[in-house]
Amino acid sequence: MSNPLRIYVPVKRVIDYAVKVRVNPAKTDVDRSVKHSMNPFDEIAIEEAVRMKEKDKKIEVVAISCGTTKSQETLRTALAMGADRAVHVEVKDDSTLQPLAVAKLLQAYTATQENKPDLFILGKQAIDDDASQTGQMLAGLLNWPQTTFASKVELEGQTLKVTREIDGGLETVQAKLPAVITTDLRLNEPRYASLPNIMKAKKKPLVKLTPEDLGIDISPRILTLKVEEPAKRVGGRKVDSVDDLIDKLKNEAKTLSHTSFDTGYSADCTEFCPLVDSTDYLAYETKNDAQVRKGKLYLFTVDPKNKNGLQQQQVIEGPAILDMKWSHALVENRKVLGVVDSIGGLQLHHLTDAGELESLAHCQVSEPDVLCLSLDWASRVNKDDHRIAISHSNGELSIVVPSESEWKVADQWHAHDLEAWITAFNYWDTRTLYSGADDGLFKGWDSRSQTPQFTNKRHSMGVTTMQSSPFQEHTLVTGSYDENIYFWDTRSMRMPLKTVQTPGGGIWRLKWHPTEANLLLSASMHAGAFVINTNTHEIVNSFLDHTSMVYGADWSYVHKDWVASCSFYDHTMHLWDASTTA
Amino acid sequence: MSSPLRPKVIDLYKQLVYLGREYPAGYEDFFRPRLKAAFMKKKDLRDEEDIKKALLHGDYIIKELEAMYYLRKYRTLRKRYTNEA
Repeated sequence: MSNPLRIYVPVKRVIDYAVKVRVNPAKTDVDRSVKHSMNPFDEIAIEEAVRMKEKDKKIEVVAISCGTTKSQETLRTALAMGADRAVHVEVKDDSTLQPLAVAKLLQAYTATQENKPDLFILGKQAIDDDASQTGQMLAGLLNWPQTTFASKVELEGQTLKVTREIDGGLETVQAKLPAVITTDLRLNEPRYASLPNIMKAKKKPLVKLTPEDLGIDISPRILTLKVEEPAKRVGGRKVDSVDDLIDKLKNEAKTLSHTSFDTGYSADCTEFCPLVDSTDYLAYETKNDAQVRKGKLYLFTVDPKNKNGLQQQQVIEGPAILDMKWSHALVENRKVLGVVDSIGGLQLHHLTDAGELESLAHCQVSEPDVLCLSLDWASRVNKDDHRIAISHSNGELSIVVPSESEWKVADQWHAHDLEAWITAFNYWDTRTLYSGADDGLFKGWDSRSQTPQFTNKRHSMGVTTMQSSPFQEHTLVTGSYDENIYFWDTRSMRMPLKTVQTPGGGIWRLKWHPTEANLLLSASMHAGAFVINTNTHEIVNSFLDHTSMVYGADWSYVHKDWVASCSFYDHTMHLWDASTTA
Repeated sequence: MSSPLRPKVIDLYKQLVYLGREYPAGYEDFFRPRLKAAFMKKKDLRDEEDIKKALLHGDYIIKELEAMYYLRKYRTLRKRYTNEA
């Protein structure tokens, strides 16, 4: 150690680490009329420099701070800890002093031969802005090597060996002086600046200058628009008994099952009748586990005001059902339910005045070895178009139309190379039909000429559900196994309007609320069922009581905000109140 | 009582006052009354050896306070700046 070494340690005066920081009433800044002290990481930097000096007396430690007059207190602490002298770059308002400006000031001050440094040691970040930029920017301006987040420093002659704390563990690097080091928490234990040392520090030299003296423009490049407190954490509560817990969940948490029904068979589809009169009818289908070919169709009446709100009215046995939808428009004055099955068939039932489902018509849409996977009525908004679109397991799409007393396949075409999980009409322009498939693609078609209008690759996994908004003319929502919900403007399918990521599971069905334009229900398989506010992208309600994959979910049209959801392996349907307090 | 140890006692008191500003339980209501009481208890000491012992005890308290402050700061910062799951 022959040559004297000059170490500069920049220090910053910050709000003391133990102070509870408060935002000012104008929400533009924090309240700065509180206790301040030296940035703790800078204390570690000073300590490291002083320890090096204690090992080699030829080392000079210079503390430097950029800030208001009060920064001199911080410099005095640095001197009390063992720095030899201090430099104060006085600034009128340091709340707008940003790392780049500080780095420029440090470079400018040390540019002259008499001030030349061999080493800069800085704290890795300031605890007020947590920028972690000054050291790195300074090294960049000086074109010096930087060894950041140092947890161990060894200096031998002109060679620096530094152990860094990084995400994966520890990394040891070597650099030649001059260099920049930033300190991490575990580098050393800083000594306390005791009163006798504080007194002695008053005698050590302190030099003052301004940014103008150095010819540096310190105006900020970044403007803080708003400062806000983080959301308050709501505390948990203790309950006294199990009854109390259930009572609280029912009345306050609101997402406990009101009623549930176990059919004994795997369930995956549930649909409320949208034709509103006094009784709320719910159709629900299940599959026989043993042979996926057979299933049952249940009809329930729903009355949430009743403890036994779910009353089974009827059961119809038949082939396994994959999807069903009520027509929103009366078909020849009848309330009709369309059901598609695993043997390529479409069965139409109508709801009699007596409250029973009666078979209306059947159409063999595809070969019996091809499954029908979904259907959609064109008449949700356009009440005169009674066509039904059906998607198939072989990637085909079919259009079925009523013709006298029969329902016939009008068109059928190859749409996808894998299972076409879903098809949906654009309710506002029923000439356009959408389809989504297991290859992750979804396409738009001119349903009259079967010509493709677009192919969209946005989803990364199979597209399982889509629905045109019954309220907003150009809005389409799509969901996928990839857990993402995309909202589209149907006039411009290049990019989604917004994306909502669901908490996992994969989406099987999305259903728009019957009356609120911004609420969407998601049957999210393993993750349960969710209600999403499409304006705020937030999940405003969740039902997590299903113990198996939730495939079916639907809103009630009679009882506002009530939802029925069904899960597959535990063959249970739950009825719950999805009204949101928001 | 004028003895060469008097300035040392006063220095010790001043140091403890300085350290007490940061005391978590509060300076005015907790630390200062206790500090005063502790010194008042020893105010009648006359024997030099006894006074030296008391001064050493004072130094020990200073070290304890400094260590406590350091640990408190370290633990808070470690919690804040590590992603402890």
